[in-house]
Amino acid sequence: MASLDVRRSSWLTHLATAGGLVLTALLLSAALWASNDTLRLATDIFLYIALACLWNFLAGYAGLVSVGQQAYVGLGGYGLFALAAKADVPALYALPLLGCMAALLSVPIAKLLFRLRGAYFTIGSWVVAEVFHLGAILIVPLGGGSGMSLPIRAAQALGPTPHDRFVTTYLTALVLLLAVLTMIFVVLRSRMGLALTAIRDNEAAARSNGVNVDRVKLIIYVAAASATAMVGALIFIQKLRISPDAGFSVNDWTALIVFMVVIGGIGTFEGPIVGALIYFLLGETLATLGPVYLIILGAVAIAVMLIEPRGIWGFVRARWGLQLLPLSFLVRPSASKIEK
Amino acid sequence: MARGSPTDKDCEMTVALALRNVSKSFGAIRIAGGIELDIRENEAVGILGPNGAGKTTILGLITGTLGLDAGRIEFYGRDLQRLSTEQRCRLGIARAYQVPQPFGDMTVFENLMVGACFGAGQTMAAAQVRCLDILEACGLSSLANAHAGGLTLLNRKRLELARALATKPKILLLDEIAGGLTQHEYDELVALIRKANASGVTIVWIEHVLHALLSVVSRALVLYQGQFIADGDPRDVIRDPKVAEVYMGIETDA
Repeated sequence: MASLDVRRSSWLTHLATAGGLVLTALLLSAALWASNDTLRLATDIFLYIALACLWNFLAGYAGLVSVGQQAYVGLGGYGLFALAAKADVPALYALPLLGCMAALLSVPIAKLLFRLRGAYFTIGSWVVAEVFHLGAILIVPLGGGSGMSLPIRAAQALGPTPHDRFVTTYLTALVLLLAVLTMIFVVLRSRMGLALTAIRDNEAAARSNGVNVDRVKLIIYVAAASATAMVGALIFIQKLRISPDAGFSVNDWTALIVFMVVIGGIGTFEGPIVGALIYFLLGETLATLGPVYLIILGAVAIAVMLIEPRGIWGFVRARWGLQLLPLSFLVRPSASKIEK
Repeated sequence: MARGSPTDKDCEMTVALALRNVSKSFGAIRIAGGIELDIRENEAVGILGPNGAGKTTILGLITGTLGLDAGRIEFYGRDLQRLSTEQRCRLGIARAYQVPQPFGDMTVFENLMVGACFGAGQTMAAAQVRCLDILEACGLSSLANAHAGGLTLLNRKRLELARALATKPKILLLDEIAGGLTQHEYDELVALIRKANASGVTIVWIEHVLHALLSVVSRALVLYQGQFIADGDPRDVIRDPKVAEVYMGIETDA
């Protein structure tokens, strides 16, 4: 019998990696030639893709179906405005600082929420986000219920002209998205990725095979909270204004994200990216329809859930066995053909 | 509680697993009422008992998916009380479920990798090499890249056993491995279990298919109403009038 060996990459993953690098170079160069409107739209798309990938990381892999990630989006936004207005911290330096703060804060929240299982965790996560929301209303120095604007000097620090500011935010969002995707990729390819995928498929079996489920979940929750806060900070740099309702909006920062992940394919690396792009494609073509647009969006989500619960990428992957990233283990006869 | 088993002569051997006054009830139903049990290292023990006697519950108590009402369980002298299921697995307690619990959207090989990386605590590189050997030993080589969720019952059971072996168990808890399979099918699995036992793994096996069980175990216990009512050589145990009484309808074709 020919001996076997294990490969993780294939010609397809090499092709996809090359394609990804070309695309990244193209997107970086867009800072030189794209119009303000294009940069602004692309920044939004990057930030939504990042949120969708992070939510999928939590819900699709670690089984932590949170509907309270807006807590960290708002936290990042408010944190950035507070640091800029009260401590004159330049916006771009504030980002890593906010990431660390959110990570620290998320540990006690996780300890609290992890006492709840399944649907109770989900509801609990929303309650925590609402506590943040109400807390923001009570903080008068940050504008209370009516919110605040980014101080002009902080906005100008991003660039002297509006175009410069769009370029700065665009590039920062792109770098942040690449960092988020790289983090998720590296984790999924590591030993912890194996544990996460096992938890995704069967949590009880993961435990009885020695996976420290609680520790893995904690790490993923903290990493997702930290990155979500940084994305949130950038979202509100782009908007220049924050209020409790906007910062901690369950519709904008959770419901839409869930829509993207579900239609794209939950529990896959590529799914949330596909879902976010479809959302923006629908938005750009149908936004003029007003309320009808939202009805179409809902119909699409229901149709996907009924016809293909694994989502678009889940279907593609199952149908053609596509694996663009070297994340799986492929066993095949070894090239050396040593007879046993 | 009688412990007059034929293995008394080996009593200087290490005790792998000890149940001390273990009690467990679900409401009014008593599953275990002060059970005492010593299982020696490398012993192969079969647990019999009518449906609903609580055999599976005992395995749950040993792996920690269920909590004890009273008593203690020791693994090589160490009290398991405060250890989680995953810690117990890393100590060397592996369990194959009656209804196989594969990671359905992972490949067969990846399923084994989970057991090797986390149960046995191996690095990815070492786990890969070892899992290839396990694939071959368990007759799963041709299915290495198949999705575990799409396997036939026989292959699911094979995978369940292979993944448990990948965790490098000291003791293997088996729950109805042969159930639902033809003799030709389960013979293969029985051979794997016998091989594991020969390599030093202690076996505790719940099984209704006596023919499969008796070809491996050297000691049988019968659980009934929260107590072991018989303990000894399997062939004597199944002829015990006390056992026949609670266990009417059992096939003694072995």
